[in-house]
Amino acid sequence: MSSTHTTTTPNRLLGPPSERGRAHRWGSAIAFEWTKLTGVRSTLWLVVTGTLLTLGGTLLIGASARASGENGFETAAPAPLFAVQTISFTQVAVLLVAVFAFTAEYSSGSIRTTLLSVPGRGRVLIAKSVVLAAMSVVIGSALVLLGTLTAAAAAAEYGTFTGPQLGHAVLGTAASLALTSVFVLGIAAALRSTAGTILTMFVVLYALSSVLPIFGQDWLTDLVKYLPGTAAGVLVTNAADPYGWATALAVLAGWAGAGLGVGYLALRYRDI
Amino acid sequence: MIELDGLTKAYGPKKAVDNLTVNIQPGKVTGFLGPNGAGKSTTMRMVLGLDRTTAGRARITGRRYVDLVDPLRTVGAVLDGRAGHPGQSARSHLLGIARSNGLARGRVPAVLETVGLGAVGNKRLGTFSLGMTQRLGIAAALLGDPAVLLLDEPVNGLDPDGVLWIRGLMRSLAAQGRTVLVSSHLLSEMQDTADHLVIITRGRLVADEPMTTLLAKRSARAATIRTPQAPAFAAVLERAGMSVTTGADPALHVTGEGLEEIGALAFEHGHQLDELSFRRPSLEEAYLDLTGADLEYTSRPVGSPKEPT
Repeated sequence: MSSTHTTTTPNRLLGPPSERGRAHRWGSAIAFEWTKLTGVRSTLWLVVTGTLLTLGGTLLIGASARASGENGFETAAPAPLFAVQTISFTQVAVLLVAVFAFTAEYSSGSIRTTLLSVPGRGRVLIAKSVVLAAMSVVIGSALVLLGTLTAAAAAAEYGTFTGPQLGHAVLGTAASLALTSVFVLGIAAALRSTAGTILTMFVVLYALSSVLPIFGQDWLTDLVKYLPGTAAGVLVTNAADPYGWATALAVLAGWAGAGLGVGYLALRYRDI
Repeated sequence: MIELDGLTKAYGPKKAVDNLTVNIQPGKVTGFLGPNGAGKSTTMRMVLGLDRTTAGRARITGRRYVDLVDPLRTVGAVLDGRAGHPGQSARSHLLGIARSNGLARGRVPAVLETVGLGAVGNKRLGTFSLGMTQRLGIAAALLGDPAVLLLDEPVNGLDPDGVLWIRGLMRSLAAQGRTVLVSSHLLSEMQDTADHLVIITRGRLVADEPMTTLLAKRSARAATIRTPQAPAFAAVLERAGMSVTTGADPALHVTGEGLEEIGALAFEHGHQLDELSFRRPSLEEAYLDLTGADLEYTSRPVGSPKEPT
């Protein structure tokens, strides 16, 4: 190995300390997180897989709606609704990216490199959130648009839709993906372990809503309304039940904020 | 300059670092020594803001690490273990770090060349050997051209070539006026590299002195002499106040004050010397003298296994 390393000695003079203002630190921290997120292949694979599954699923649902419709069943619906039905594939992919954004740093030890470069722990958390939220918005909107076109083509006259319907689906999906991924990011920052974070994520996002009603207690059943999955469903489908999109946005933002809060407290007081 | 002022880290009742007060000066390589578990790494992590302090303060160029704007322009650190995502290339890893502190992109290829990884910049970190990982850590530390460097066991995993290189690197960084603090358990390596030593055991400071002073105080000098007239010359040396023991070969082993007079005494008394060698002062001896009684994990000879009773 030694023969491949030809080394030189740095002969620069002492560099000046930073003259940049403190304001630059936020942009730099975000650029850092963006470089890390896009610099690893697993991010690309997760996103590509999620995209293919979503678009493939949309095609099937659209075609199935058309076939059923042609056979006299009442299955016609606006194409954006077909598109958002398969957004779960993308959601899982984006959420896994959110999980690994923190847990991979702990398992690889790169969390120390991160904190040496950006010692403000809150800033690290916010920078990661901004990058993930932006990625979620772009991917979510793009997939709903593409999915709607795919479903509309496959469903033909059984998938006609209006502009506002498409707009709601795009914005709702983007917001729900972004807020859910920020929630998961906060949990990942607090729990550190990949397995623990994924388990928590599935319990809170998917399992609780079917488990809580089993106990037959009204308050537990009511609680289901305020789980992130329910709020995300309202945002994505623009449903009016159990509450409108504004409440849904507030509920989901609350979960995202709570996740970040837990993540921040854990980061703030932990030795790395 | 790194200033530790009453730095303390407690885990429950146990103090890993106990009221450590030391200033690490620029322009020198300062070796940071101590037995395993003495608190060297904990101290370094507190200086770097990774571990919270229980009491006291650690400041670099007058500020806490977390208060430095673009800290990599002031401090470069090499900690043990992997420092990046295994799926990321070396270049991308360093580029992210450069962006985080507003450093010029051009620094990335420059430091890759400096550490000898210029040819493998596009390889992913997961494929790197321990030695390459160590070199990459040094590249990251040099990225911001910092005035202060902290290196925790930097020669771990390096081949002899790499060990020699890093010794030269640390010497040249200190010669440029930078502050270089390096921990190591390789005493011989440290003896060749460090100008100044800070030694701790059980988190407490036991020495903070220049290498030369420490060796002079703690490592007894000794000379070995071969001469055809051994008994007669031994008597001469003893009269001059030295203590002499005769070895098997038969060489004379001399300790005590005035060893530098031996050659002159031989000339004066007409003795032929076939060998006159002075033992190099040993950091190992000085170190064991300072820390030996206070080892946290002392070893015992391996005995015969006990029968279960």
